[in-house]
Amino acid sequence: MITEEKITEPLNFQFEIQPVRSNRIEHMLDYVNSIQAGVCIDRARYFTESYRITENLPQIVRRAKALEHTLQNMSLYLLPGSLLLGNQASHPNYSPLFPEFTTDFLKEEIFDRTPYYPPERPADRFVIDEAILPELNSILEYWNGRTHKARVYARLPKEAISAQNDIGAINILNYVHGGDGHFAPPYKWHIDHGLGYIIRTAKQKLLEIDLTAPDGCDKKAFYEASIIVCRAVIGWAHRYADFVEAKAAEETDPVRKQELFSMAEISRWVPEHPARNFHEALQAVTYIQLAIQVEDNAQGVCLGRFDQVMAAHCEEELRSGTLTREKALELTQNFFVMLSVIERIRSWADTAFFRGKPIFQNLTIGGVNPETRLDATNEMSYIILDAIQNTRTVQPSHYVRWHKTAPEKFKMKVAETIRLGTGFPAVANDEVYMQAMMNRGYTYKDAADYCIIGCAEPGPPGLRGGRTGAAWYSLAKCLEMALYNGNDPLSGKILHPNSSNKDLSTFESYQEVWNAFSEQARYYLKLEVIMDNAIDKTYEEFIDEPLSGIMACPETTLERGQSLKKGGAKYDFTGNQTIGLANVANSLFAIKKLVFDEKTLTGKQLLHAMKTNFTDLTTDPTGPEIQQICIAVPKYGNDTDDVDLIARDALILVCEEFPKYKNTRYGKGPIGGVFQASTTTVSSNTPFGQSVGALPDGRNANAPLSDGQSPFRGTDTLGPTAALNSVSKLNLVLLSEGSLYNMKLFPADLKD
Amino acid sequence: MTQAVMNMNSSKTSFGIQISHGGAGLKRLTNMIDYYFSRGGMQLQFNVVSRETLLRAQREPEKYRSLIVRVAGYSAYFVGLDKTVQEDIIARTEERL
Repeated sequence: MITEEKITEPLNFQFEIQPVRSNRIEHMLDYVNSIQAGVCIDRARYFTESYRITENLPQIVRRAKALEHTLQNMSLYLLPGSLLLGNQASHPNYSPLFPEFTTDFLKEEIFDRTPYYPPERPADRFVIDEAILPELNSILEYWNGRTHKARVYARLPKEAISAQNDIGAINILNYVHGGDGHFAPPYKWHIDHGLGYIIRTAKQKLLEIDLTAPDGCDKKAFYEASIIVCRAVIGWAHRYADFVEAKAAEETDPVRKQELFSMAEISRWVPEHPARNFHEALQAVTYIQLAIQVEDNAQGVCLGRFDQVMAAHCEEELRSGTLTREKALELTQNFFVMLSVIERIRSWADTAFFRGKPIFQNLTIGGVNPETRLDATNEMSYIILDAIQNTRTVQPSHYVRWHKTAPEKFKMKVAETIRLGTGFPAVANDEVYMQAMMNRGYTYKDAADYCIIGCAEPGPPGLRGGRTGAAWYSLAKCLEMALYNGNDPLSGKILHPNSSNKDLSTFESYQEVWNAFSEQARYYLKLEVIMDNAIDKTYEEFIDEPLSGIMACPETTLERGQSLKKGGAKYDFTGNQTIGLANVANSLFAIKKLVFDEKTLTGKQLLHAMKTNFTDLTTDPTGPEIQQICIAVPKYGNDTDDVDLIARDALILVCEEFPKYKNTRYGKGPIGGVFQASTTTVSSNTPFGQSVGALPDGRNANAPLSDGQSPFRGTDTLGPTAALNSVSKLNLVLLSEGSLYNMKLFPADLKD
Repeated sequence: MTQAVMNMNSSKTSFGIQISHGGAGLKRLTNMIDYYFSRGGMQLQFNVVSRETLLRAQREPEKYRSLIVRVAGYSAYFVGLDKTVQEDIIARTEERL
């Protein structure tokens, strides 16, 4: 039926195609969506209680005990109608607090109400029950001076802090306010082995370790911590079993009563033992996934190749008839809802980098089988796509691995899902991702098993440690610093003048401009490495996560007795995030063309126009006229080699420079142990833009920079083919930490 | 195979509710992904939303609470984003297939 409203409303598939959901899922979503984001004190309370009495223990054991104490005592809840159990906080959409990372923003925002009390923020609000404030105050007092942030800053050279706080060329706030995350547990391995297997193996290893060896003590602590956390997660599941049994006793609906008893039985079996069916497998994954996010507030705890994780149980049960496709879909939707309620309160300043509160629990489907090299899609791949189309939660996040022999049916189903416009799934090209990984030392087999971690970063589940998302790095700011001879026009700080001692008004050739840009890019890149290594060293010494480590890479960490932070993974890379590539390419090309090739403007005129944000009407041409001249120069994104190849060269510079630096796990076991580059930006292009003045590409001062490696918004005017041609000229195979290209399509074009 | 990608003369302006599953529009999208990847492209993510819808969502956020969009490496509820990020998404080029 066509209503009035539908005729006037522009086509949008999210509204046009209504989701199909069971009553159970519909009610669950209604309930979850009715709860405002808030703050929960449970985790901070129990972690702190434990830390107060474990000063003498090895740090990884201390942390294990704190998690154990939390899982033993934190409140539990059951979503209405849910068939799965587990929680991160006292209520859905509530964020636990992690005061061991930082107390400053909690104190400033919650107690001093500066700049905003979290319930009164302009965006990303969190409600707070004021009754928790006295207790919270005492918790913050305990942590004051003992936090991760204080320890990181004590290690950092002033120069690096200035590059972040004054100049805005790099930023690490994300990793001083929380854990690092960014890994994919091998969930197939976990559901096939159970945590009991890890406990048994760790116990055996404890009998075998050589305590006279230099690392004997560390190994002992690692195995002890592993046993504590695995037992803690099993114990938590048993608490849940008791919890739903009590609910079952009160339940009047006989069908629900039976469900609750059955859920209790499942929670007594998994995650301790290998899952025996689809439902048990999903429940085991849910407990592990949520417990990791109670341990720390890291983002990017990913689900791996989830159609592969679930394939065996799904297909076997569909075949035997113990599970219907409808039930499998409903359970998968239920699973998505369970993951959608995870929250993280960030400082108000940090929210600018993460607008909309992403958690980055990425789930990947598609791709090839690493053994047979054949397409790996199965019925679960389609169930997941149906669940994405019909659940429509913003978590988990979704990726499809796309390859040459992917079935047409699958590709069309993916396109149909994309058409809804939720941004899910994003698509990754197997061929280039795998080549990029092999270029950094992955074997074919391991590369072929990659999933997406965080935003766009590749790693095989269970094999990749390190941080795929490291510090932010504003390439656009590096260019600005080169044009001003290292003198920041915003803060007046000079950290590193150009060795030519020239600026845009005195450069004599385009080559000199490029050289100055390369020099500043390398200078700030080095400061970023210094910051990242300081963070990693501090994590290793004070916040080495036992559960995250053992879940992320059980096979290698268990074998070596080394946590991830000490080099326990098979592969380990620290990944950067490069911001503003399109602005850099467009600006460099504008300078080349206008100042040196065609001499339309002098460097001095252009620099003055930049300093005055294209507003000075007293010059000839005037500021606004100069801006128009700048805007008219061809831009990256229109298949113009002159500018596209500058983008390519700028990206190559970054991609080749990062791997020259080693991370803190180098030489300790993993393959890699170096830095590598990506173009993921999250929403950081907005805050980074605020510290960059007007640029020669015609962009105004303080405006957001370009995102990912996308053309600058609105400047790709020749259609998608030209835009895609430009982007594909970048030497993407070097971008081994992932590539990010955002494209906006017009809905009506996908209607037929 | 690039023909589908290059066909930008689509001029549909009247929006009905007849939507095909597995039709030419979706085929153009899969062709475009194949084309980009055949040229060495690595990753693609999409918004499928008109400028007009986003402007309406800014004006009447209550009616668009459920609207999800792609920000960068993640998706979020559009009306929950702050204005600068909303404007960034609105200003992105609307590519025609």
